[in-house]
Amino acid sequence: MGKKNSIIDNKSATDFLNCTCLAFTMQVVVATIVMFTSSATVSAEQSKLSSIYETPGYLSKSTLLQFLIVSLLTALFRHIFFSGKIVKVPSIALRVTLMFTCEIAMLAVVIWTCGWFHSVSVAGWAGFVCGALPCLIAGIYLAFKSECKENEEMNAALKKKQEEEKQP
Amino acid sequence: MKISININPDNPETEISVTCPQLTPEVEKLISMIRVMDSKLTVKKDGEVFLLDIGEILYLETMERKCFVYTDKAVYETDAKMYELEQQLAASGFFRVSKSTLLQLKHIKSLRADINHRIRITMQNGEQLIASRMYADDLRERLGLR
Repeated sequence: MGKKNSIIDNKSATDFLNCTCLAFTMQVVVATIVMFTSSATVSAEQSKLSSIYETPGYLSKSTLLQFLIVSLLTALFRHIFFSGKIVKVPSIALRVTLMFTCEIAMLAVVIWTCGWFHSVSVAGWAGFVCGALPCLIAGIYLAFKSECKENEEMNAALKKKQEEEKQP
Repeated sequence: MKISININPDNPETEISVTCPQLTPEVEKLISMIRVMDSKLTVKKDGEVFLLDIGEILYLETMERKCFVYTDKAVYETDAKMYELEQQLAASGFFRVSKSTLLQLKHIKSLRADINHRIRITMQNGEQLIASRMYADDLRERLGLR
């Protein structure tokens, strides 16, 4: 009677690749916008994200590699929490919470080790927290609300259908 | 195969009799189909053959090319193929929730949204089944949510 739990769809490699590409593209776009909206000299002083071939104002190869690693880790977290193979918590909201928390922690480690901004920069970390925290809270809230709403709708429709079928 | 139909107004109910030289798989299949129309499914358990009331079946599942029939109390096996059962049992309210599972709507206790647009189905006996992404949309449509 316990065979039913084995019926879980395989998450394809294409999904993993798509997630990686999407995360990578978003990081490059955001970082490039930041570079172009701040002056090259200032950005070079404040972060190691600038400088390709030692030219301030552009993303370096090593930075792009760091973005790629972050993208792969992001896709990996998504796979861990959303494939249903590793983490088997039934609640979507809880999965979203765990995934976002892990991703934010991973980003903090990457920022610290790769020096995306100076590790002693209070303004930098304050900006990071101010950016990450609303995303985390909003993500959890939306996931929780949409899960509750969908469950309620489905169960109401199920009861209605079952009542309809009972009637001759 | 010869088919003869005798219409007799004096008969209180419809009667089907099968006359054959021997019980071949084809004849068994024919009998099985007739029994489905009579809301019965021929199943096996430990070498014994049972006639199961279709209303008792919670769900059917294929596993390693075998088709298992799950009721509240026991698990049986049937020789019928899943696609045949899907056609035969559609009128009784059975539908697919994944490539390998057919279930009856009236025995669902609750539904819960799962990751990747799948649906986690809790049956009345507490067992949980997963409606895969493709079939979850069909289930939503069946429930009038699309």
